[in-house]
Amino acid sequence: MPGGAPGLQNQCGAEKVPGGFDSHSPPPFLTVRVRIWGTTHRLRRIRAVMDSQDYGKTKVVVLCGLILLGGSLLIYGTLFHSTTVSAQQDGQPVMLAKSESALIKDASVSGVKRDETGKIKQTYEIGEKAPAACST
Amino acid sequence: MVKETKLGRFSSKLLGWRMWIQTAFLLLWLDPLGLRMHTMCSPVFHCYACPLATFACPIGIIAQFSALHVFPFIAIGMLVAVGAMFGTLICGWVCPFGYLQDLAAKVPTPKFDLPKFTGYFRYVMLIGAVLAIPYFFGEGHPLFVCRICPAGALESAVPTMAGQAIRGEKVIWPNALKMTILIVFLIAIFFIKRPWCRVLCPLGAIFSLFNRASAFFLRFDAEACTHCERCHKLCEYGIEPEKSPNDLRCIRCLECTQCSPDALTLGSVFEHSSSSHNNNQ
Repeated sequence: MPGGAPGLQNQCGAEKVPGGFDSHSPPPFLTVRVRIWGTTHRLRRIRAVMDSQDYGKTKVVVLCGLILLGGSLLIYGTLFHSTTVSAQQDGQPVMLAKSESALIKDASVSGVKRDETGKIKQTYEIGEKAPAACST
Repeated sequence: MVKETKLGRFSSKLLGWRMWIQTAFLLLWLDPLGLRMHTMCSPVFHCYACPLATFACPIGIIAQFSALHVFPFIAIGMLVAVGAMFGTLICGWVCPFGYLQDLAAKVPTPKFDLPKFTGYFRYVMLIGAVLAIPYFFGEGHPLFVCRICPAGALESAVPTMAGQAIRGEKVIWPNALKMTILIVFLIAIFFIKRPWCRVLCPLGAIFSLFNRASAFFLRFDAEACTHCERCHKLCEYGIEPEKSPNDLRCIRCLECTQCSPDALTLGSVFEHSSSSHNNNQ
């Protein structure tokens, strides 16, 4: 283009606005529109890459990562994770360490609740039967 | 052109048996042996308060643990592992609540479609009723997911009320919002295909996030596609499979794989393909 592209000579710092060079910075809403368009354009490009063959190998890595993550969480939750729960036994407070599986079973029947102090409390006394069904 | 695969041929044969497969999975979810193994979550939407529930509902557990401010490693780990393997294949072939809606859709009533944007409400339900509301307001909040869930109303509240009525006890009704959602749901399933799955299911929202990366996926062969748009008619959920084969709204019922040029097939990362051309996923 004769005379070069519109804008400052060093092509630095000028906002590209419709109609060519403008020494004034565009109003804020136009900058936001440009940014939104840029983000949408980037998302479309990411999607096109995901649909391409090159992504196939990446997908296997991502898939293995996800399965590993899921398996690790599952194993940790089943074998290692426990939560301290306060309960009542003969009117006396006791602290129990419940495994996550036991907590799932109690949670499914509203057998545990979080009180105002943030502690997790068992809603039934030790030795009593757990509630039959969820209170919801 | 993609080489026909064993999995593609196998899934084509299974397609006619889909409802029988869904029925068979009921034997797993409906606790025929009375085991009540509620220490584990299932990967399907089935209320744990149901008298016939083998496992705990993963959404209920995530919500309850959110209310307790405890991270649900088992529920999340199970959903990530199953989602990464199958994506929403679980929704289309395994979930009993989806199966109930499929059965209701068989009734010959006029069917209506939903606008595409309604699919995003699932994420609002997931972030709101399952995560944020329990975390900030506890299990007692009226919008806690289990207090508005139609699966809980239908599978637990209704049998409980029936039992109370039969025994001559005082019948305790669920709250008005739950009853309203249940009634709307029970009407909607006869006029809209899978309304819960498409609009509000938080479990489907989670599995849909894995659709583009799951081990099993819908393979689209652009070269075999004749743009006949038969897949648009085969898809019962308003998706254009050839444009978006692993769409977030897809429940992977695999009906679109009946398209005659075999442009859409079930694929997996475990297959070897001798094709030199790309199979879009």
